[in-house]
Amino acid sequence: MKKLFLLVAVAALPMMALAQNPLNQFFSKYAGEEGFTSVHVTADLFELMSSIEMEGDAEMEQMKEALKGLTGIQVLAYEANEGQYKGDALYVEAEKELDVTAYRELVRVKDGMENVRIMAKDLGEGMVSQLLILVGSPDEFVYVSIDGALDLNAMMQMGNGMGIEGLDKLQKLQEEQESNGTQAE
Amino acid sequence: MKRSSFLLLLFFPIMVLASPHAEQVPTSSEEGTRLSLWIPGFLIKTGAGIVAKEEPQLADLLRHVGSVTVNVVEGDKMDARHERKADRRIQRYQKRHFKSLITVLTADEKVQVSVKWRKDRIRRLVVVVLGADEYVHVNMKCNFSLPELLSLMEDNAWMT
Repeated sequence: MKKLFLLVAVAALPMMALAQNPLNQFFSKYAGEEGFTSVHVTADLFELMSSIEMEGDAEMEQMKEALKGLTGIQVLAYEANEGQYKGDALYVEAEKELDVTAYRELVRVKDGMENVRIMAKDLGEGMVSQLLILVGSPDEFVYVSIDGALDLNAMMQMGNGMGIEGLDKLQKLQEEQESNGTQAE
Repeated sequence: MKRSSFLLLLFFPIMVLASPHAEQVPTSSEEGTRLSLWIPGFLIKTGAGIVAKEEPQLADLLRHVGSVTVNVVEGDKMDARHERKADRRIQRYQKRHFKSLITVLTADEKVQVSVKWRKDRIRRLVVVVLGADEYVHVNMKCNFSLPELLSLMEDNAWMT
């Protein structure tokens, strides 16, 4: 009986951890709500893409390399004219609820009324285990969470090419790196 | 003459297969559609041969498609039963080792795309769309690679 109890407790621990993950909680809270569009891409898509042989197509090979370590992408996009919230209020709420202090901030941009923040959890050697992008303005809010062992340079290269809202903000990371490099010179 | 009789031969089985289940009911008392359609693979390949000249890319895609099952329920025919049906279907596919690739959720609609693949070729493609007043289920046997699908989607004029 004791063994069974211990087995159930051990099996349930990962599930409890997943349920308490603030990113999943935040995503689940608003997915399906009025004004929100949520997209969840699973690891299976990346597994399928990585199994493809793409000789001669450099762009696809580059994308394949960037996607190899991914385990999932979650996107939450909100249009203020379709819902009851203000985009910048959601941005502030996301900063509070997602425990952003656990992340290293890579880019913070304020462009007029729009705030962009890109954060990551480091794995070392240019790799990150999680990339978080928050975009907030009065009219919209975008939350992108990319999980897996990510090559940041490769992600920056193909940010636009994936066609997922919010990933184009990775361009700002590239611009930031380039301007830091120019200043250092 | 030959072409029109060929077209008749192509579409007659579709009409026979579709008609027992298709209900188009634009009556004054209720509006809604319930449609169940099964298109066998050989008809799709025949269709590919017909469109090959005008739309060679579409024809190439169709040659890789086997049978297709389409279920559509919309309007007044839609009820909570179909929502439960959609959920059960999704769970059943997961038990049968279909991989869910992408799920898109809005306030009005849920779209889920699942596939089964062997080596690097997609062998089954399932799309389930569940909205407030519509339910669409497409189950397709096929044999194409992701690059083929992606390159076709890049030049998607035939889709519009």
